[in-house]
Amino acid sequence: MTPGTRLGPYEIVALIGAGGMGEVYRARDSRLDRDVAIKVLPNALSADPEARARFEREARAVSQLNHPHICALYDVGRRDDAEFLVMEYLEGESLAARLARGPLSTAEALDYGVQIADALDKAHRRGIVHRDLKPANVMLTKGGAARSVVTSSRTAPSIAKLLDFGLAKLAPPPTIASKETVLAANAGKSVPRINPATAEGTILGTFEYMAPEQVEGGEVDARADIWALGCVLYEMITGRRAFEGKTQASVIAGVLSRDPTPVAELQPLAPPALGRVIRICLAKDPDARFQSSYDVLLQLQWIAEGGSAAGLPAPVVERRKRRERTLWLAGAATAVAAAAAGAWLLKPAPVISNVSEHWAFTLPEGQNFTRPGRRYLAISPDGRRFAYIANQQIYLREIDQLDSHPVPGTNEDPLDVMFSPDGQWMAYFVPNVVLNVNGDTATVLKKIRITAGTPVNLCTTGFSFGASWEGHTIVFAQNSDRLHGIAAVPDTPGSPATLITVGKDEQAAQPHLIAGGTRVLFAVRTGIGPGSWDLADVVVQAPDEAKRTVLVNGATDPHLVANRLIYTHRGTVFAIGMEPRDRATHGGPVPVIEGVQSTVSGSSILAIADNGTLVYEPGNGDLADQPRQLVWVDRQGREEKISAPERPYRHPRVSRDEKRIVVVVETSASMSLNTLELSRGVLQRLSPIGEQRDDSPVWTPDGRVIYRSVRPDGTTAIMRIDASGVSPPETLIDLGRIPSALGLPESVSPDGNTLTFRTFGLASDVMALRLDSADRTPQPLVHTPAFEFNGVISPDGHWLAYTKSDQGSAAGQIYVRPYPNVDANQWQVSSAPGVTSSGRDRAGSSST
Amino acid sequence: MNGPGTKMMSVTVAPGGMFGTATELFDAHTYAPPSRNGIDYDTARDGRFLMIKEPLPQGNANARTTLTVVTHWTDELRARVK
Repeated sequence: MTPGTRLGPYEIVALIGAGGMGEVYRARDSRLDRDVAIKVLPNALSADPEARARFEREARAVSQLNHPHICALYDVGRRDDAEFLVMEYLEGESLAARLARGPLSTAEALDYGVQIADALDKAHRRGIVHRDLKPANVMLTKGGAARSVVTSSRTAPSIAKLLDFGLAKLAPPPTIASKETVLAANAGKSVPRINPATAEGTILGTFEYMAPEQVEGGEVDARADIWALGCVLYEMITGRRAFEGKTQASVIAGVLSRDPTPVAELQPLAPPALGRVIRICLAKDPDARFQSSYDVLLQLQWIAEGGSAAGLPAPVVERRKRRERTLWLAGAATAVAAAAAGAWLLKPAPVISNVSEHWAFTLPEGQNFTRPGRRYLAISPDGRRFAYIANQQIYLREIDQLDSHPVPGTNEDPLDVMFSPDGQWMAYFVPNVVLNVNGDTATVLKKIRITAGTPVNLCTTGFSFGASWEGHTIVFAQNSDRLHGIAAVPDTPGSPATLITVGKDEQAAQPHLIAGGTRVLFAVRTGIGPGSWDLADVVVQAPDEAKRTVLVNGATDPHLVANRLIYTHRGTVFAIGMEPRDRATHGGPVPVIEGVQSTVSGSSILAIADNGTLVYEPGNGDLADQPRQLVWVDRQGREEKISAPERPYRHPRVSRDEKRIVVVVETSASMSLNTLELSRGVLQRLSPIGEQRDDSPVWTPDGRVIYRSVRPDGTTAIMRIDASGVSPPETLIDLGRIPSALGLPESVSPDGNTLTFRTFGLASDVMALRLDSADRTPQPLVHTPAFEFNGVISPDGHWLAYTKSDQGSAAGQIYVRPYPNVDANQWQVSSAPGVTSSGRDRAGSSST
Repeated sequence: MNGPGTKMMSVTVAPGGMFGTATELFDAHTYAPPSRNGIDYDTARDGRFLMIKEPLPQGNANARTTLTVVTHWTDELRARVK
């Protein structure tokens, strides 16, 4: 393929390697704006079943592995008859290239050895045997790459990454207890054997690094990789291959019958213990080798800790003597059981009873998380599957499967998905469900079997601010005039009952029943607006009590897990001790996860199963802080990027002469107006410097901007400022301290005489403020018991379009009234919920 | 927009108050969804829409299309938080 060739979203940049099993290209992923490596199975080989099988084997193998020392698989695809893998692009050199310049220092060899062993351990625990470990399949990458927990004390200048699982063998992964199983099974009883993936007798791999049983075409298991690791260690420390020959036959003869020259002869300064570790790895009999990569890893770590003195016969501490004795016993090769016992003795005291595994799940192409303001992730209590909401529906992903699948019947733009305690059902909220012929809408709480079927309506309610399913009760938070706090509903059709009511200027979120359902753990914030969840409290309260106990300040999204209170602050998850029946925490908070995506509703995108499995979305915390692009989109959906820096934009408005844009830049810490000169792409701050929060700008015909400003003291005003920013803003109307009800400017009439704005909160109306009058008393334009907002006067001044919702959600039905005689008539012009904006086309008519 | 972040819809308005049927213009799910605090798009005279494109996956740990799964996490938790 030539540079510029496209494989879906990937554009080929250059060929970076070729071999018998395919070509590897550097490519650019246009969606993610990153370099990737694409391994392409040539057309000629695509017809070869064995070649395709190997290719697919690699995909399957690597897709199961997410590890800092294993090259990541991002994607698989096919173009015409060519199949390809999209993998992590690694900059650096192969270990083989490095070894061409001579041996490594002992410290580097040990460091890389630990990393490779760590990667193999990960693969072996997944039931994957690499079968082709060699220096050419280890990349030494530069700069910034993450290391695993066990390899975090680095000395080598680069990170080792294991590549090329094209010859890998797959089998059901051993359980987490396999480490002990393998050790106990040293007599050869239950070392996980893997059914041959190739025809019996077929030799795959590179002879110089092939274990005897592999050379003989026999059955191989993880211990073949341990042999190869021994070869790589040998080569790193001595600069020579353990088994070399002028012909394949001589190499094979060496593998089968000769021992390599002792490390001590070639590298006298190498720790004797390292020589012994290599010798054990290279035992001809698989039963005489280390029985797991983890054991090799521990040995190498220990040697690294002991420095060059490791293995000397006179260690200074008794513990080391014991280790040496066991090493010697292990080195005797015949004392297999003793080797196992020795390896066990070498283990540090376990801190964590089970070793956790981290792996990533990438949404298939074309899927995007939806409802970014609400939780779109859940995990079943048994940890066997998780659910996420993408493309307006729920997908299920079994932990032990590669693919997710949509849950039929849930394509209703749901939010706040959760599992039932038995894991057999999911519940979720569907906003804006049309209830009757009048177009009245409500949010409906539904449930559906995980095996699909027909959703069951549990109740109508308001927009959810988080929910959980405990026993046969679903508790949820809601912040509307109907229910302002925490409610509960049975998991069968019924009516919600209020459990806890919070203050009018407060919002509750993410409730959980704890202590046998006697108390509610939830978050509560005062006021709304960016950053207010950062100041929220995590509290506990009994439904029958007015007393509320604050557990943590500046926290949100609480969970009670293993007698620890888990909570989030600005994208970092903390834990602190707490007994379920306590109303207090104990100990100090400990950050346990850095970088979790948060939402504007105060929840974090994480879910924890009863079996201890965690799933979360990595992120920078609040989505509001993430940079976004301004684009033009024509009526056919064709996009044109606007020359402007990427910022966390909100509320863009085009000036009447269409030469400028005023736009809000909103972060969790600030919110300001900015103007963008479209011809120059220069973004300039318009808001006066200060701690006020300015947003919701609208243009006036004379080139000024009207906006809302929330001052540091919490009072709100509608302001006007010249777009040049040379004059200070003037206050049009001071709205005072209005809890949860903010004056949001929405449009200015074409004659410039009227501003429409809204209140929002416990009552929401479209309001009008005369700009051509000294009387600054606003008058309601549309005033009903429902929520009306986004009131926009059409460019010709004849119509008022607005959104009507009876629940106060962001969307509702679209209505149009004549303007200014708004009471003369009204028409519902939408057939499904939406939001309003008055369009302007060349014909002068309006569209919404 | 029809449904939060879903589709951009259009309704024509003829003189005298004759409204057409809502028709879909384009899929808008990759743009900023509506929020309670205002409209996140605008229109130009030529019919184009000024939109905010949602944060793109960055190809790193912050990618918005990636989930991380950690098995036995509560064992880690117990070990780290006494």
